[in-house]
Amino acid sequence: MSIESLSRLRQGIYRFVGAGFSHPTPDLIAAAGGTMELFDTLDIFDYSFAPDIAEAISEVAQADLAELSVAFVAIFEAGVGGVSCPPFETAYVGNPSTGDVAILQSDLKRSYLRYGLNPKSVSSGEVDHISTELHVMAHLCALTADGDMTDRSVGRVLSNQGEFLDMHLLVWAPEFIDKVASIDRHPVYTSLSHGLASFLAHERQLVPRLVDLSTGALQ
Amino acid sequence: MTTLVACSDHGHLNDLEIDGVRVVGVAELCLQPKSIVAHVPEDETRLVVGIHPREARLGAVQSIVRRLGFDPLGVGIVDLAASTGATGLQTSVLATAARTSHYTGASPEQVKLLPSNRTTRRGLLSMGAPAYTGAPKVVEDSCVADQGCRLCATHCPTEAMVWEGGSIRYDPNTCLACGICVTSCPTGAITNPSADPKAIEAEVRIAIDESAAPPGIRYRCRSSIVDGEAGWYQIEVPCTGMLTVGWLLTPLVLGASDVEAVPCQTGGCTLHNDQLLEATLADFSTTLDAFGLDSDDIPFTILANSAGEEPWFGERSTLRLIDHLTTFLQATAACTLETADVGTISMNPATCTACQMCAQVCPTGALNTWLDSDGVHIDFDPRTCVACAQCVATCPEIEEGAISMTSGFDAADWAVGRRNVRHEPTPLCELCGKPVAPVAMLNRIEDMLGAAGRETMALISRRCIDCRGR
Repeated sequence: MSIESLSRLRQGIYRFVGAGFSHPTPDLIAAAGGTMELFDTLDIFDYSFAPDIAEAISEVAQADLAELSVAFVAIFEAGVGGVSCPPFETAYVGNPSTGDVAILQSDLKRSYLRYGLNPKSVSSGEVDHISTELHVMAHLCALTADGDMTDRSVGRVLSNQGEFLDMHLLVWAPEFIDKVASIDRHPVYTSLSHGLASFLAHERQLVPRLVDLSTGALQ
Repeated sequence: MTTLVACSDHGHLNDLEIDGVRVVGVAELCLQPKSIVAHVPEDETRLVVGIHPREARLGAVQSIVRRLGFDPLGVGIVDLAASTGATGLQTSVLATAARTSHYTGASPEQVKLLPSNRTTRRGLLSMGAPAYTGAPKVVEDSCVADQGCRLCATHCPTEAMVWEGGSIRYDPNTCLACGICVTSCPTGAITNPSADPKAIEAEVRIAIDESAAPPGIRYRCRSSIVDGEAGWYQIEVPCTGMLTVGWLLTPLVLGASDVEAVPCQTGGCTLHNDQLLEATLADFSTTLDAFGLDSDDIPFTILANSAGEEPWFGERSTLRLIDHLTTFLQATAACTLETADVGTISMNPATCTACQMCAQVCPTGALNTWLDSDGVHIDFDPRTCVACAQCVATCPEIEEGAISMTSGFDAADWAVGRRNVRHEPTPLCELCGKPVAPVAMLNRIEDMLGAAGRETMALISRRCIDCRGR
């Protein structure tokens, strides 16, 4: 497998899981049908997260949209005494009374701008949403999937991937994932949380390895 | 039922008939691991793959078995290069199956990406399927780091385990999954699916039971390829630096004819774990000498330890083994050891203030403290001391030599068992009757305060901490 096809696989997984944690749509369920075949062509079974991602895709493909929508609202948007599993980074690391939330959101917007994304295209309430952050990683993976990039550019983008994971996703997503898994409200979200846990645990090891490889390539 | 799919270009598959195992030989399996797919029944629950490690890539094999629905860390890999003859291969298959039968799964954090040798541009362009192994995980309920234990952090050669923020923090990227933390933990709080003591014990037991004559047990690390030799059975461990005197003694008490460990075969261990192994082997030899034993001719087999009890390979194995040897042989052995997790402490009543910090940080309860109308008592049991030296590191009077530790054992000392090592009378509070503080501690404070502190001393010597404000 080349860095390009590995990046395409990672991009696809970030996009799929990111879409899974967004408001459910008919497109999400319809697209899930062919997702595993696509990932299989990218050698997903070479990687330890494959069974968990396959399970999540299978659950999404079989899901009933109405039931899924109800579960989404119950888990991520409403709840007696507050939202059960708020899907926002600031709910886990920001302290509103000290202004951390605003600082974190503006830090995220600056990062998005630096990664070539337009933060204005994201509503201010969604800037730290799990789905947004997963799509940002998908965007960064899409860049390294481009075979025309120079070694130096690949190294820079891989470093950005590592930085975004370390500064954001890996800081709060594990706690969010644990909450979703422990609620076990709907098989789609339980399996998505397991899939994301497995994938991020792998990313924590893989991305520094890729950065090292790209550094070696530059020497 | 277990299915063995093995490369028929190596080994003695034609002569192999094993009860409960469906044996399938596949030509060129090492070069074409995808051919496994056609030979595993859909409903198979247990799989063992026989490959030659010099030809097959572990990552490719793991990818195929993952596609078949197996967890690669739960699939037994028989090293065909390490097996000699049909009997040797049969033993390897059964012992490997026994080891994998103890596999209970791994959480995502326990799946460790093995390092790749490719660090060049070519590495970026053509990365093969990665190989995985088990990684450690700290079980918070059993971890006694909050009591002061830092043994995993102290022993970790890459600082992947560090004490931070009130608990042991683990960094998967610096961890090399060498297994040293597993054997250094005195409470069994660190698990690693690739170095599970129960699984390794099951493999050793079957290897001994299924061999025509008791074999020698040869430990090798996962990155070493060691050709098989008649009369020896190889046990793969993550790194031979993780071995302890207990892990070397255990095969012998289970009936093995001999035991040895092979250092790193990949051109020298970059972690210097080879030096650690050398020191452990020296301690192992010293231990045998102390008991008057020869590893080639252990005159007994201990077959106690029925199912369900702690495995001999489990936590504090060296302590438990030495305790067993002492009892079994009624020995009067004594020796000091460099690496073994066995120790004894001594206290100097002239400088010890009986503050009891030593007992508070002891991770195994070897040091224990209690209070009665006579004052403070500190007990010590050498049979549970893992020589971690936390007591020494924590002692506020260490510069005065209040406590010291010797790594080693003395059978006569062990026979005494738990004994009192310190007693200090404690005055009672004039108001509530509770203990105030040990006399030695009050004397020490008086020394520190000098003449200027006489009034203060008069108060704190008569009243407990709760009554001093009244």
